[in-house]
Amino acid sequence: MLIVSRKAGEQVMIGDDVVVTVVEVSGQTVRLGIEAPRSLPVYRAELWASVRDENRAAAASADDAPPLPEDA
Amino acid sequence: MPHVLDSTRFGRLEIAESSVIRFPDGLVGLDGSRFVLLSANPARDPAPTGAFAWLHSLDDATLALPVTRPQRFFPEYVVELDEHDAPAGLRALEDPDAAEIWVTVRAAARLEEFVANLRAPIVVAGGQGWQVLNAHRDAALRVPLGTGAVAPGPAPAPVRTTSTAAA
Repeated sequence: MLIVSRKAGEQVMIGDDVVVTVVEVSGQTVRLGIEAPRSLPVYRAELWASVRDENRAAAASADDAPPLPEDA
Repeated sequence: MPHVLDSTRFGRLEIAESSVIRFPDGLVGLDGSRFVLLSANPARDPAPTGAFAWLHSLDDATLALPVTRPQRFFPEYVVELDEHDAPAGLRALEDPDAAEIWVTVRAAARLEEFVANLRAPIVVAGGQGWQVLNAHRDAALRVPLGTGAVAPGPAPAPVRTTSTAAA
């Protein structure tokens, strides 16, 4: 993992078209501004992980359950 | 030329090109970008017209997610997209109201035990699909079917984009 120290107002470039700006540092919280092409999804990591886990759980759930109801 | 899907769950199925749904960003945490919606019993009738369906991968014959139409169980359900989170392809849709909304479910032995992911719905339109983050405050990650209305008030358009900045 690359670790860089930045101050508020400073930026990091990822490739040619992703810019991460440190907007504010306040106590335990860092506010980041992220400029990325619209084609590149940006997620909060914990939310991404919870959706990933839910997707995997959905895919696995049907292995143990009886066939899906054809209607409800 | 139809696609041949050798599903580990349903056996060999022929999938018409017009039924293929391409996910430019894939599904969160899962591989593959081409999926098809199949009915609960595709051997009898593959058209996904019932309350439940399978979102089956065309790239991985073992991968299929049970999905449901959320408005069937949550009549007030809406998808609110933060304008910063809305995928470009979805924003470019001429008629967002024509988009189909599905949500993944964790299937269980009894219908009352099914749990739907209202937080990350799947929007399908024009042969493309996106798993999006629903910014609506009541759209939770695990909601048992049968818990009723999510967003109180008159039923608005199924997908709407807000300009609320992310916190």
